[in-house]
Amino acid sequence: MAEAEDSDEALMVRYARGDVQAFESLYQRHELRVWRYLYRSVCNHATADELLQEVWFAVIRSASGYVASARFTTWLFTLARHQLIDRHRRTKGQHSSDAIEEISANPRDEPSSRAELGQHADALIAAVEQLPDEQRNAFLLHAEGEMTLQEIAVATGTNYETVKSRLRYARGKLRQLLQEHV
Amino acid sequence: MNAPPTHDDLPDQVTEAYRRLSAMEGARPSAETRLAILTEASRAARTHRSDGRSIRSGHWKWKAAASIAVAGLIAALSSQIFRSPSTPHTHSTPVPPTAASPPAPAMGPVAPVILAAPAPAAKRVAAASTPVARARSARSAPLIATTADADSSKAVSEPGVSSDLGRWLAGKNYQVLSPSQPTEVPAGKVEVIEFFWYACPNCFALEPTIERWRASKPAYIEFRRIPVTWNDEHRAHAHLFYTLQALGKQDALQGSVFNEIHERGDLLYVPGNEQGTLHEQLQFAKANGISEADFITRYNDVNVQLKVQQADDLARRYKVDRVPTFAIDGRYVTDATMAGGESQLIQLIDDLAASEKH
Repeated sequence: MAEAEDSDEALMVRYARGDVQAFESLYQRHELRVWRYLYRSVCNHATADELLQEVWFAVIRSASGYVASARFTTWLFTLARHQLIDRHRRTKGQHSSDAIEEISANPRDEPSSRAELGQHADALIAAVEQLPDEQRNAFLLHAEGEMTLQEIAVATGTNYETVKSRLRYARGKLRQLLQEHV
Repeated sequence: MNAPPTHDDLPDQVTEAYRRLSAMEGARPSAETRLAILTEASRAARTHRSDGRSIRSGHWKWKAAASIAVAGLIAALSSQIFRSPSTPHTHSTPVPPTAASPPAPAMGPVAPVILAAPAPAAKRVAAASTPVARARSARSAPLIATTADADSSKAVSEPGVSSDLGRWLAGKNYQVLSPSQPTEVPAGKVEVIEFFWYACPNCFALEPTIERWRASKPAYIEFRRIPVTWNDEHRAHAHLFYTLQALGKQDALQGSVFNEIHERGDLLYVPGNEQGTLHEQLQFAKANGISEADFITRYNDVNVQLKVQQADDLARRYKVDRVPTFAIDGRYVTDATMAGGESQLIQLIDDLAASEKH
């Protein structure tokens, strides 16, 4: 019972009734995973922050009508994906300039943290960021969002077999990139 | 709900490796982003409570609060105020949907979610999060003062927690700072710092309680406020705080500044316009009996600028990532959420201070 009361869905329902602490718990629980999903997708700290804000604002706005008919995380990552799509439409082709700006504007974020991970970890994360969009998206929804293939299929408007295929290619490429690196 | 996981859903070696390494990586969202989200959640929670669908007895309703000027009544209801922080902050007015946004994913029968542009508050914070703004500020506080952080386990392992604190749990109700920070009080005194921001609804809501506590707190506790300086808006408000302090008016006008921002909707800040900010703050000062010459002199005083810098350093050393946050004797950090509520917060501060009294 206690577990059910602390589930994401229960917390969301409590927040819909005005319980701010329930939201804080929910936010603490998922902040980093959602942010990393966004960050790996846009490769830009500031943009990931802005998208994270948009995602959670969407959660806040829809709280009053919330009905727990699917896993909260599935819905949350679906919101995140839609933010990415929206941003992509608005800023097509700005990826590289964003990255340059990011490096010059916010130098302390990446190099220090990545350096601590070691070169293999660095290579793996860089490899994820180099995946084609659909494969990277499927991989991150699975790896960061812990979504099942069926959930990813629903969230991305495709079918199970397509998701399975994208994941297989993504994992294969990551293995290959890692082997090349080693 | 959803179908159970299948064999295909099991993470492979690469996925597991990614999860492990990704979690280890230090990159994380900025403090101001977190603050914007949690502030907006607090603001919206008030709406949730008062929209007629989920009102629970005993809950504070802002619209009633705004019209109440009787101090005694505010005192009686203060414990509810913090739990429903709220002030119709002009940063966070409702936002209309935008046509450019993609269709929102609905969750079951949930009304469609409109992925709209952020509320004005969000825009303000988002602007501060842009690379350009970051280059200018580049001073987000480290995010390590939360209960969910891995560092908590290290912090709570520090010995020396007084037995008087038996009812409170280190790591849950408060964090033990490591290393502890030097204080600015003489022997026999215990320093309590409130890190705050004038435009923060929670800080505004807590203010009456803090003022009552100040009036009745033990004499050995020395209380001071430190404004946070995470972005341009924070720094503008911190500058006002120290200007008023230099004029000897900060204490007397603390409530007036809060009211100016939260009740009158005057932000005392113009984004990207220092002269505009100065003009707004000057008008406020003049309306409160401060001469233009005095205000301008103090506003430009290098000591005021130095104080803002010192506030920034202090918040960094205390690893403040949310407001209001309270630091006790350079050793403990807590807030209302960790304490379990407003009245518990005051009791916890008193207990932590008592445990440090020598």
